[in-house]
Amino acid sequence: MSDSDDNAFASADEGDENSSQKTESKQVAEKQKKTDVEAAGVNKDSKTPQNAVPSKGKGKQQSRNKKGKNSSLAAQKENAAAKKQVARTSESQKSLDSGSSSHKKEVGSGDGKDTSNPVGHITTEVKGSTHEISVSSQKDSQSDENSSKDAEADVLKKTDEKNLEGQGDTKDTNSMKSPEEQKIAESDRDHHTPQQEKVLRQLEDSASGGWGWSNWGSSLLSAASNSVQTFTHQVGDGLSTIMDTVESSLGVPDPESVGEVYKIAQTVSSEAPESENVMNQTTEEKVITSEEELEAQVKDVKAQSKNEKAEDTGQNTSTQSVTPNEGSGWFASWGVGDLAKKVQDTGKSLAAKGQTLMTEGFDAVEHLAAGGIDVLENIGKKTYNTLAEHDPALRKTRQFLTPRGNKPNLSSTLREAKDQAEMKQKQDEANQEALKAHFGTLFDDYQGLAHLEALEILSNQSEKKVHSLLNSLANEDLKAIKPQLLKIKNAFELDENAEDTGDQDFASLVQRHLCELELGTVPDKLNTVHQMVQAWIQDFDSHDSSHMQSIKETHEKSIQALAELTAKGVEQFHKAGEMVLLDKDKDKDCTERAHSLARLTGVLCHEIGNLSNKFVACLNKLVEEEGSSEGVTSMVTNIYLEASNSSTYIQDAFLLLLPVLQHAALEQAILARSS
Amino acid sequence: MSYAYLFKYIIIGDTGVGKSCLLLQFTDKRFQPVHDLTIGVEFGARMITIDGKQIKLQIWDTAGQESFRSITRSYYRGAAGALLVYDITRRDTFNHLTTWLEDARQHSNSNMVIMLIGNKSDLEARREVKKEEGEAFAREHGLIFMETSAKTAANVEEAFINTAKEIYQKIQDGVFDINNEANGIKIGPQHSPANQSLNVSGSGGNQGGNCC
Repeated sequence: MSDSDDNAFASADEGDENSSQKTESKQVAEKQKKTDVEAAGVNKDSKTPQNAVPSKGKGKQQSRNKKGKNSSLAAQKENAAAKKQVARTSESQKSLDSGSSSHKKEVGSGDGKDTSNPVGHITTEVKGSTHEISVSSQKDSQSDENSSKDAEADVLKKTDEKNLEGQGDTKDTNSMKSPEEQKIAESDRDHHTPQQEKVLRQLEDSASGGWGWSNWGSSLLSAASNSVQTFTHQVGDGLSTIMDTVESSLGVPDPESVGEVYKIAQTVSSEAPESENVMNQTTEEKVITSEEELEAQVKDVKAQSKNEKAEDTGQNTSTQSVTPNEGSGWFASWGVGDLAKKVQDTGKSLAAKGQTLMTEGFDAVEHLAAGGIDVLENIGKKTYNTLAEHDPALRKTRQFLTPRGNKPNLSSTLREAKDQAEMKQKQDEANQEALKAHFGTLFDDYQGLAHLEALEILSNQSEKKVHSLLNSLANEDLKAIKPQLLKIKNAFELDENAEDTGDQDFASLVQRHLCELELGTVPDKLNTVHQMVQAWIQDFDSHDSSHMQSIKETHEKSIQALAELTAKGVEQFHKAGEMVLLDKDKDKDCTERAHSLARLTGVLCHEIGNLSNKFVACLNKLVEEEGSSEGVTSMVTNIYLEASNSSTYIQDAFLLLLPVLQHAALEQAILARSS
Repeated sequence: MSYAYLFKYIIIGDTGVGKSCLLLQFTDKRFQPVHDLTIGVEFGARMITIDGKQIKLQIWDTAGQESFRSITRSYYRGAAGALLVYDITRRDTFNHLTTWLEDARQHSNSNMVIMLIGNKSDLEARREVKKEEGEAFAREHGLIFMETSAKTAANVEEAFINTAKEIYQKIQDGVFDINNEANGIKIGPQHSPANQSLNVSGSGGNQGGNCC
């Protein structure tokens, strides 16, 4: 695309020079016209077989590959006789009639000059590549006006070659060539239609007049503009009309797309002749309403050409029909499908009109060349206007191009995420720290929670059982058993006042109360923990400050000890509950057991309180010795808080045993009654 | 410490098949040749990771003695997984599986994942129950099967973890309603540690004020 743009600009720059060359080109064109006419009859017929092959591979590839294509073509042309491809063409040429041979001669004359052209004329063949091309090529190297003659010759030669190729090419030769070449060949063939070819030749000639063909790229533009122009001329509208049409069909053309359009136009125009036949069938649908006038004319032209071609090449029509469709598909992807069709139509009409157009075409070409810059200017203006129309002051465009401040931008999002992650990590660390001294977590770790849960299950089950048993009992039985149940319940009324804060022989007390239960459970775990805690406290007391742990460690240890002791206490109650349920010994009074358990609870709670006092004393000792009271108050508070929590857990566990004992008592009673 | 899920397991089976030893091996990675009789139920817990998620297994190791059956049955409820253990060197423990299975199915939720475990696989010389028999039983009753050795730790981890994987898969499949704790699955206390730490720091703040 950029190529075509550049070319367009180049042509605009040197538009002045074009006029001088045009005259020359006119003459040439006339010459060629004649030859074309001669060849025409032959070409038409020979076209048929080849057309089927080349139609594929068009579109983007074609435009992309143009350079490569061109260079290869250039090489071809330089050594018209020698090159393989030329050989091919010559082979094919043999089959051709005298008309083709005359072309060859012309080619031959142009050979010498061709070699001097670096880029190659390649594109020349491209339908009527025009002044713009020549302008750019002039720029490049061969600016001499003399060279125009050479260029002429080149053009002729090329076209001839192509004609020959197209005529003589079998499918095989085509397939050997690169896709671009095939296309070119195709387009050449297209030109074979007598009228078309003549027109094109003329155009080429005029273009070549005084201009070198070194810049192949320009040929694209020129071809496009040429065909467009010719059409315009024929229709009687000025160039501007076409531009308008193009723009309107484009919708919102931008410079790039315009360039693209030109390229497309070229391709299309190259295809146009061959697709004439096809177009008859297909174009009608494609034609744009906005261009109705043009359409009407085109249709007329179509009708003409239709009649002609239908007779000549019935086969071709079907095969070629693929090409325009493909092309239009591609164009449509660029949003210029309409334009493409238009151009196709133009090409068709141009070809159909044939000779009558020739002279007019010349003038049109000249026009175009002279007005090239104006065209571009026009396009640019239209583009801006179109944009501005939908987007006043280009606000949206600017918005789109410059990121908005209120949009969340990446860096701030990332920063936020990072902050959050850091905060989370800190919190996690704090949590881990906190968990070390967290009573609930530790209590769970020591399985206190699990035992409490299990005890709860037992309790709930027993409660249900008690209810169902009570409901099943006869009234007198109920009366008999009720006092005992009440006694058990009373036993579970904890005496809060009984607590004194003095030291107690924990181990022996626990042992004694458990024995009273006569459940066979031993307070091993409870005692083990208690001994461990006692040992730790003694160790703490016996050491001086240098061996002492930090305040934090002491606090953690205190909470741990409380949690563990509590967990074991709960476990003890849980086990007691299980054993009570399992113990079917009717001799054992449940009320007694209830009292024993109540005492055990008292001992445990007392011990918890006692230990918490000792822990606090340890903390205070540390504070005195270290002189720093930082955080200690909260720790002391925490220890007392957790100690009371601990007591609550133990008392809860104890209270959960009430239904269990009642259940046991009921079963005993029922058992006693039944026995 | 925090976990995504908590699965409640129960270990059931005849007395002496090595239930408590399996638990000890799993939680403490050690083996105790002589183990006290379990009274009622004992507990063990361990964290495992499945699919990148921390899962806490809360294992209820029940007493195998017949006398405890009435109590241990109560604990079946609310278990997400069960390890049904027999001793490959004692045919009778294998023969009792049906009773255990009926018990488990009757007293637990229907989605409970049951892993059949033939323990003491290290005692190959004294084997009375072929592995194929265990496999067949498992197949017949829709259980997962493994032979383990609490002594050598062979397959112990796998037994617990595979069960957890099965439960996890059932959660993913939507079979388990994780919001119903009767299924033996609890969602981890993701936020409770934060609250706790807030409390701690809050009290710390108070203390700071007091100091001044």
